[in-house]
Amino acid sequence: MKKILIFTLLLSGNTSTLSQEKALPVKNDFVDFNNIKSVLKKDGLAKTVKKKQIKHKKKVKIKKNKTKQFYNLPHNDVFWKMMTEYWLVKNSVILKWDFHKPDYGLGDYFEQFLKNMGEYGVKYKILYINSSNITHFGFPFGKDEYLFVISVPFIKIMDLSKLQISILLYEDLTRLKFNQFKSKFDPVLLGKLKEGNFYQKKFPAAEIKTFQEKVDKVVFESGFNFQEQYQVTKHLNNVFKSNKKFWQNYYSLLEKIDDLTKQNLMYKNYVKIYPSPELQLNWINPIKK
Amino acid sequence: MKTSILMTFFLLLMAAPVSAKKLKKAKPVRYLNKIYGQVHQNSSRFSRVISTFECGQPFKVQHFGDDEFSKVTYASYEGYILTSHLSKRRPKDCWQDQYRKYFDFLNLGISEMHHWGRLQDLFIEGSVMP
Repeated sequence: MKKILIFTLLLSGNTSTLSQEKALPVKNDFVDFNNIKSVLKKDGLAKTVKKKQIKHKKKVKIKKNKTKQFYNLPHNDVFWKMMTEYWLVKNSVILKWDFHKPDYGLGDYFEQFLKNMGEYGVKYKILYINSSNITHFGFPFGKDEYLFVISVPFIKIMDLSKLQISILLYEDLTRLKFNQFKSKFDPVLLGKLKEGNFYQKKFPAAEIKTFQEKVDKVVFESGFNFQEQYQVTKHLNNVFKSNKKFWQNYYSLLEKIDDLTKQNLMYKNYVKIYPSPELQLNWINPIKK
Repeated sequence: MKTSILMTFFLLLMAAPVSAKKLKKAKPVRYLNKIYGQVHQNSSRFSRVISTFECGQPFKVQHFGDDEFSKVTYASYEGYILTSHLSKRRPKDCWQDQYRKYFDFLNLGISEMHHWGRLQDLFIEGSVMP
């Protein structure tokens, strides 16, 4: 009984304090901070709060920028390298570049050849393929960096010497230097794929697919036009004129290719990519001038 | 007798830190500097691939080869990797780090990663410098 009485008393005491709190005047010196603002100002608390707020904002901004960086699109030079390698990976079955082959010693020879041509500051990679889908092709691979893909069956059927292979690769290098490959791509499409950021935007998956399809088309179907081919052939003719051995090899190489494309159905497509060996011979034939 | 025991004990005490030092001598660490790289069973580009690793992967170098390959270990993996694919410091230009989301969205499968690593092995690299 006593316990119940004490409990009721305690309860009633609690409710009375609650009702007292509710009955407190609105303007309470202890609650209203406006009254102690001047004191706080003197204490420098407001300043500290402001500093902390600015610091926090900076932190949030830095964090956001860091997150944004994760969504960066590749830089121009990295883009071509990354996309070319990606294309090679995707086409590994068609191109058959993963095969056992001997070291033909082309790397060192080509380096010496480029030195003879005065092409300093050039970095290159060569990839042999075990397919005739591509005979030879040059890809941009970064600033002053290039990738050359060359077909081993093509080398064998043509019985190419190291010098003739080097001439073919030099022809590809010239095309790249004249920007003939990059110019095949829509600048708007390229703009969506490199030098930017896709934070809070859709990943350009469709654009990458379009880009890869365009590479397919250029490499396997359309290649280069007559005007581009004329520009390259004339350039090589002018460069090789000062070196009889190189010029003769270039001429005989074009003759070989011309014969091959006319006789072998497997290489009929060559003329579509690089038109046309016959015309090239005419363009550089000194007698026909 | 006593002196000889003392001498042996003293000598052992002197030799102990040296052998400990020898044991502690760590193998140099090198980092993979290509987008993907492969460790081979033997020192050849065409040797069986043991595993494919991502850019920035640290390896303990067991032996810097006279040819173009070095013998490396990582966890239970032991094999040979092209020395030119290793660098002293962790590379800062790994595409997987630089363009993390872009690379994630490419959604590469195991087969593609393997081929990408294979590609790095099969490139013949050169440069023409004055």
